[in-house]
Amino acid sequence: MNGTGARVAGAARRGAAYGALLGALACQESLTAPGVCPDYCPTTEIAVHDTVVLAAVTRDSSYRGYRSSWQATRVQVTSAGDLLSHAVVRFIRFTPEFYGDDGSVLAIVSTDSFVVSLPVQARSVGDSTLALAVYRLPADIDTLSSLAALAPFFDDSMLLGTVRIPDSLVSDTVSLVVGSEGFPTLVEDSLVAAIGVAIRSDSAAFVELGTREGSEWSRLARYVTVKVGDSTEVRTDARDAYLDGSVAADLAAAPAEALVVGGLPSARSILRLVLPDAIVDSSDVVRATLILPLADTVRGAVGDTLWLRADGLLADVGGKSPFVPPDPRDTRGLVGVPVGSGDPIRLDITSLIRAWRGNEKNPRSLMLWLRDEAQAPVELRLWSSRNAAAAPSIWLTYVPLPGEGG
Amino acid sequence: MRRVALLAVLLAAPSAVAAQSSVYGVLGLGLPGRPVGIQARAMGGGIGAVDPASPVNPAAVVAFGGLSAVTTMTSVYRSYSAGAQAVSGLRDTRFPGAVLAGPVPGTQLTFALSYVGYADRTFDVQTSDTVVLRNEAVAVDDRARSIGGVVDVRAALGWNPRPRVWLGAAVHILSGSTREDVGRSFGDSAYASVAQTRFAGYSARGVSVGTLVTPANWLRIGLAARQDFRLNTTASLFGIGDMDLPFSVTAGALMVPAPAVRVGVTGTWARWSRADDDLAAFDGGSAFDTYDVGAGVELGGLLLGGMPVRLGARHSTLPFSPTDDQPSEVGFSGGTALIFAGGLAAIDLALERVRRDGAGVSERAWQISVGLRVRP
Repeated sequence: MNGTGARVAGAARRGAAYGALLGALACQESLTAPGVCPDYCPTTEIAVHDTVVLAAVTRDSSYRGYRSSWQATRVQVTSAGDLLSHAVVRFIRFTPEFYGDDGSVLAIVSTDSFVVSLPVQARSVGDSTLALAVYRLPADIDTLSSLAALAPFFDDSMLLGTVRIPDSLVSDTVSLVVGSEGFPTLVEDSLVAAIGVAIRSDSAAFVELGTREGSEWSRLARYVTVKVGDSTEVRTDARDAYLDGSVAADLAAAPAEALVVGGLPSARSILRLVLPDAIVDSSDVVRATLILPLADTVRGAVGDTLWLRADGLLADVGGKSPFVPPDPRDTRGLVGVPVGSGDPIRLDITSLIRAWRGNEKNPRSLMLWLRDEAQAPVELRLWSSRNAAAAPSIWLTYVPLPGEGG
Repeated sequence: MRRVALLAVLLAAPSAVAAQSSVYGVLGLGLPGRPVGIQARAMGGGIGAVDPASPVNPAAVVAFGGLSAVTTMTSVYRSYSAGAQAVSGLRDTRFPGAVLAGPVPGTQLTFALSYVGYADRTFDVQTSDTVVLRNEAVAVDDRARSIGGVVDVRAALGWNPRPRVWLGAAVHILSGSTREDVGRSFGDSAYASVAQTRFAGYSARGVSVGTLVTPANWLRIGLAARQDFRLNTTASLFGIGDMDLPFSVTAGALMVPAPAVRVGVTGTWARWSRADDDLAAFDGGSAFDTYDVGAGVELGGLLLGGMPVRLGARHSTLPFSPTDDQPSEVGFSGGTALIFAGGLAAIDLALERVRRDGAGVSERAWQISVGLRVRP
């Protein structure tokens, strides 16, 4: 490098250093400012449009058989007449003997008592007489057992006892101590016990019990006297629920033009939507509300709320259509429907329709189902598109994309 | 090594973005850029008509003499008030120009390639309002943002047929784009927010001619004329469309009354009113003819290390207004230079205080500019 080139290179380096220093000092940008409208605001208008698409739903259908009460995370015990529902639980088999610390078999001298533990996870309020009546059921109950077949066993002759539900109890486990005579055929039944739980109250009420599919479930503890050497000791063991669910009265048939959601076994409904491409694909949908007129007043336990969900489908293959996995952070697509309501259900499906923009893979269909499926013998009955006067509709609020007429 | 140094200088000038931002940048095509180098900027633009680093007079490129490169950077700190609203703390940095020039071997020609900001259309405006949706009043917050502008890329040729008469011509390609974002968020969480983006494009052509005459050793006079043709615009969210660009004339003089003293004065008139009908069609504002008059003085060697002192002042008018009141701009500037390697390289510094008033707004800004000149 000659002298001149070295000086130029050195000058360039110093220049770059000065420039970089000044650039670092000045690099932060802050341009955001409140608009001085209208003179100094850019000429643009975010035009928000509102429209109700009346014939938005087509080929809507209901499918039943998704989940039975034996698969629910809770079961609801109710006292209402035609929505009567009892919980039934069959426990895991007890062992015929106990074992000592050294592994030796300890013979059971006598069975002293039992304790039935029931996890209460929700209850109706305002009834201080609310109690659970526990009955002994045949050990061979199964998923095909019905309310009619088990009705004779929900009789005082089979009553094991009652457990009061105090007003202060919101979610807790209640226990019932049962004497040794409570399960007189335990040995003959191969050490399998089963119980039924019914409501006792002066007014319509409900209690929800946890199940094996949920976080808490019923337990049956046994207290026995065993022979240990020349003496006896009291020992205890407990068995969890093996099979738990509910038996309930059959609901009256829904109207022919109605869609059903819920019930036992649970039903779901698929709605295929017909929406203008100019809105779905060429607009920013800021709010979309699915309006579902009820075909019947929402019937269920007094004070209860049914939670209706709408989820998009990955493919529309009828009853076995897979869901688009819902985002747990998105509270849209879920609405609470109080028992006794007769007003149309308004369900926010904004996220679902926004996801369809420019997406040709996912069908423009959604599935309606109850969040707490099969927990109670209740179902929503909605008018389908076959009832032209009360068909579902969609209320859309949207902003056309730039260059689109909207 | 000379090529490496020159390449380093050019690489230090990133892709073109226009000049400083302003609240007036929302209007029309944006805030017009000032095609002046840092030396001229420090002198109020007074030497613009004769300055080779200012892409105004194509004949002035002859003054480069040898292979040269110039690049500039400007940082702006500004505030404005409009009625009862006062906003401060706004700042941004731009790289408003660069020049690469040199003799065409074997000829009396000098070429120059340059870019300079033609119009800056950078703004970020937030507003709040209430709209009625589904029969209910809902609060909304809107944001309109534009980043970018139009750049003037010039290819000039200067010719010195005689020692005291220089001629020049240039073609200009005006090009640029703005990223435009509009967004709205609703006070009611039931409504999803809106965000829309579009990239607007701009293109136009222009031609300029000029002459530099040195009737005496202490006097140089420059004269240039330029015609820009119709601007084509695509896909803007903010309503701007095609528009006619101005014809402009620049005249100025540089005087050297003493060996270390330079005095310059330059004036430019531009016929921006050609765009008035276009503006009315899509913007609703007005376009006015503009003038820019600046004067400055450079006193060499007054500072430590022989650094010069440059001072200047200027007055100009702005082309776009939402009303019939045409905004104007007054600037006071100063600067100096760090000279290296016997003048083969230099860093020019300029500080300007700018005041813009008119059409209901008062804006104040400090502008710090840095330029690097290299003559390998």
